Amino acid sequence: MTYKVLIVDDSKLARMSVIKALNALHPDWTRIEAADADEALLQINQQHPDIVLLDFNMPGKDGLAFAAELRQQHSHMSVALVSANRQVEVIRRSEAAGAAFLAKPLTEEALREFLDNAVQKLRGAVS
Amino acid sequence: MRPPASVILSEMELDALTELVNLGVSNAAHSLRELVREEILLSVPKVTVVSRDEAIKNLGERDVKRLVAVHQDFDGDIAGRALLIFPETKSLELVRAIVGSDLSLDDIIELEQEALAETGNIILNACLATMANNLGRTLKISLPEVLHGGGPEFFYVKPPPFVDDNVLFSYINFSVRQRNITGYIAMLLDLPSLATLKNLLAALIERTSSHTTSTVPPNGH
Amino acid sequence: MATDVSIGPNQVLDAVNGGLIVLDHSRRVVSWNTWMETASGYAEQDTRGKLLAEVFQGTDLTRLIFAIQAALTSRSSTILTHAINPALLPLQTRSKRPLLHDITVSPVGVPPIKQCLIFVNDVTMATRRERYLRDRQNARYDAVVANAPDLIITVDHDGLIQFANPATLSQLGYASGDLIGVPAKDLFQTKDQWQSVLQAALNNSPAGRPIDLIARRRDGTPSHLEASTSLWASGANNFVTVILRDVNERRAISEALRKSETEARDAAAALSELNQTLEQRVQERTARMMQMEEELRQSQKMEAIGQLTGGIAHDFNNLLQGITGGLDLVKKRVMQGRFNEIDRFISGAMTSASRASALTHRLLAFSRRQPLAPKPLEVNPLLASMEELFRRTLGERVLFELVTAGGLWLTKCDPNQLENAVLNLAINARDAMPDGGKLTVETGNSHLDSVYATVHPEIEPGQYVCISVTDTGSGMSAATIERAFEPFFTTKPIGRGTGLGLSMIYGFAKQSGGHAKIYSELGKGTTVKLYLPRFRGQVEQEEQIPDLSDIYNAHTNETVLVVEDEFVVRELIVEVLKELGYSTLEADDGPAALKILDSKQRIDLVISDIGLPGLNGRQIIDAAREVRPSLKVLFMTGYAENAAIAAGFLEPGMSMITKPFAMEALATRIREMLEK
Repeated sequence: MTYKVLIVDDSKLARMSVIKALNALHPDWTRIEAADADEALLQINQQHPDIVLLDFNMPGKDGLAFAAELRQQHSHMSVALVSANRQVEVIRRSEAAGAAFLAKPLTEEALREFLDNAVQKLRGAVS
Repeated sequence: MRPPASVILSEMELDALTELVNLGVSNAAHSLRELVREEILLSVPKVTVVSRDEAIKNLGERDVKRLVAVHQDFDGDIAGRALLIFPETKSLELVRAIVGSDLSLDDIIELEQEALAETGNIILNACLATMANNLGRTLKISLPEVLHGGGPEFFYVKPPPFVDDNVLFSYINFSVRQRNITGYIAMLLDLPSLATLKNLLAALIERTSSHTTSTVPPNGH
Repeated sequence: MATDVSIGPNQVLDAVNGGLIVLDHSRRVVSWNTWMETASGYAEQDTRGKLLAEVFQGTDLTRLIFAIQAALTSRSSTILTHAINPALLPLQTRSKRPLLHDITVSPVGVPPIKQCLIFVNDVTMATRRERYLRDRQNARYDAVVANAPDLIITVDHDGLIQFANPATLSQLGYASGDLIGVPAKDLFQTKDQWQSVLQAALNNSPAGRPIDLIARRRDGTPSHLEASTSLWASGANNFVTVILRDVNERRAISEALRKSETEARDAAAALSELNQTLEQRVQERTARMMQMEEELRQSQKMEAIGQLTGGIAHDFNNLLQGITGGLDLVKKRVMQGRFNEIDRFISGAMTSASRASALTHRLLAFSRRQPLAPKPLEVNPLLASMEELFRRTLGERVLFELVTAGGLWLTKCDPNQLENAVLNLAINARDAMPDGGKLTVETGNSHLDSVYATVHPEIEPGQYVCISVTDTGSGMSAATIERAFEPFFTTKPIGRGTGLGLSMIYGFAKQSGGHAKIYSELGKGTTVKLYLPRFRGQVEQEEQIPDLSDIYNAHTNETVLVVEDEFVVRELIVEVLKELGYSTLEADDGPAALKILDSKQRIDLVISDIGLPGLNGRQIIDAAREVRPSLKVLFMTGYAENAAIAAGFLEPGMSMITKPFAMEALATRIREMLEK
């Protein structure tokens, strides 16, 4: 079963890095990219992704605020915050917002764990 | 001496560099938090490569005549110096942010050199180390030194080999204990270093966009 | 070979006056010099191969380990100072005191060998000496600064406060820490002066004598201070310390002195003046003042009337024309024997007459002194009825607009006074717009809540009807607004305006339980708002004035005595009475009336003017009632009906009607009185 993954980060390199890891795990899944929260919303309304990976430090609305919004308005989506900012407060706030926290640089293992959880949740939600 | 056009970074390379600085600064935030024991908000809105004259002008334009900088040299495949620059008036502000506001003015003044040195040390180390790591290189990084002065003093450095004309400039916004401090990270690289940097960035981009799961070549290759 | 090389006892390392530790790539001890042994109490053989955490159990080594990791993985050097990190490692001096130290961590070894060098530098003596010196300095300094009654502030070269002594905090009302980082100029009312004091100090050219400044305390009150400054530097930072001496008391004393001097002088002068013809002067002045006041009061009205009468005379002429013209036409038609259309001309004439009477009424009310007679009132119809009057008063160059709110609450006040007030405001507005403009009169419901009442303590919170008069004239300055309601205060040149209008309006508002307020901006215009309390109740219904019909006709033989000295009016009333079927008797003054009343003649009702020459109407009736105790009287008066009632004038069986009145109204009243 394939899923749609939306990757949001203002750095193209960072997006490439995430996609690379995603390709290694699930080459058949759909990848959608956005450079900031506004673009991301556009893509969400058009493409309806199942999973969203957000950068924390973005211009405009920051990743954490956006993550909280997404969890409220599109609660079926799995959201993870991807950031090199590993401060304990950031991690706590991610969790409080209902998003997973993945440290940058993203390793395949960390991504795999998150995706497996996400898929389980999505399967559960559908049935 | 103007650099040859080929050395100036492409848009993708600049994107990659920005991301590296971002990663470095995020790492720095994490370790600064250990020092300060409160959440640090650090962000890097912009990274540019400008000529030395333009760099000095940028600093002057912000109406800051007196600056304080923490300076560290680095050596290896890329050599140069890195500076973390703050407006001098903000330095006491920064010290209070690090050590708290309960100390008297005298104590703050006393601790200024050390606080700046350690903060600068953490930030610059994290940035340089992250960059080096991701580019698959190692650098030897010196201990920090605190300097006071103005743009020209920082950027015109004798003796050679720092005869370059380019400065990698990034603004960094820093907020801790409700104090907003804006400073800059500036890195001066000599020309060969800039060319090397460009190549390394290209290689990084290549590695990241490739579909193989090849890993980054080990440090020290 | 890429192996860890453990360095054995090395004379150089052991001779160094500082701690040297070498760790391998797994952070285990490879080398531990003698200095470290002495300072830590652990010998090299006890530490070799261990992690630092194992050697120094129980110590928080987080930052140190972080630095070690950085040196090993990314070859960066880190400095950890005692100043910022007071307790890095548990080390002791030879005399068993805590050893204060800085630590630097650096990578060492040529790749692929990766090791980490930790250098521990003893700063105990330097730190202690500095501390001692500073404490001594501080003790001296603190003794002065902490206890000084003067305000002592240190600012940096951006003018931000970096230090404020206890006297500063207590004098200005701040808590400790409130002022750090605050721009010093926020503390001063005389900001420009402060700026130049600071600038002079930073340029190292201070004034040489104390400069007067006024500071603002946290509660907003001012504090007079004298400032002396000095510039000092610490490292590359420049600071200015300012000593501010409180001169409030000195000022207060000299001010009081000055005042009392002036008072003494004035008293002496007055005394000598009074010495001469003391009583006479006092009397003269008092009399003059009273007269002036009265004159002014009257002239205020006269002036307003004067301003009105011009327009009103014009109106009157028109109205008279309406009357005479109409009657003329009637006469012609009757003489021609043509009786059609007479009705129209008569109606026209009557309309003109009633409008004329309304105007007269207004004028009379305006010029006469009348006691305040409040009654429940709808403001909108009252203002609407004045519209013509406004337009007349304002002239052609002023645009007039009346904006009435729907659902306007009732209020209770004297309608005449309200008319006066609004008209006066209109006149003021007109005078403020010599080149024309716009006048808007607006009504609306208003809640003045307790917050408003806090700012305006003279008013009760509650619900009010608000009447506002807005012009686009020259406006008033804040100073003028403050004094506008004072009696005799005027901004008009001598000879124009008496300054009483607004004070009377204010007095009226207050007497009615309300409030008046002025809003104005120079060059833009003025709004005056009158607030009158909401009246919860019913308006007394206007008496319906139905058509003359047979119901009001007399029962047989009812006789009415008409006492009125004005021939025309008397005849008119008699005519109407006859038409209604009453028998009538007439008298043109008091004695004549009394003669009739003395007789045995049947009299059912007396209609009498109050204001008669000689005996007035009331006196006549009082006398008559001695013989005819239940005599019914209908008084006619030009005064407001209620004034007399309020004065407790009327007794049972007495009633009043206001001139001029419609004949239907008279007929109804008569009928009513005779029914009772």
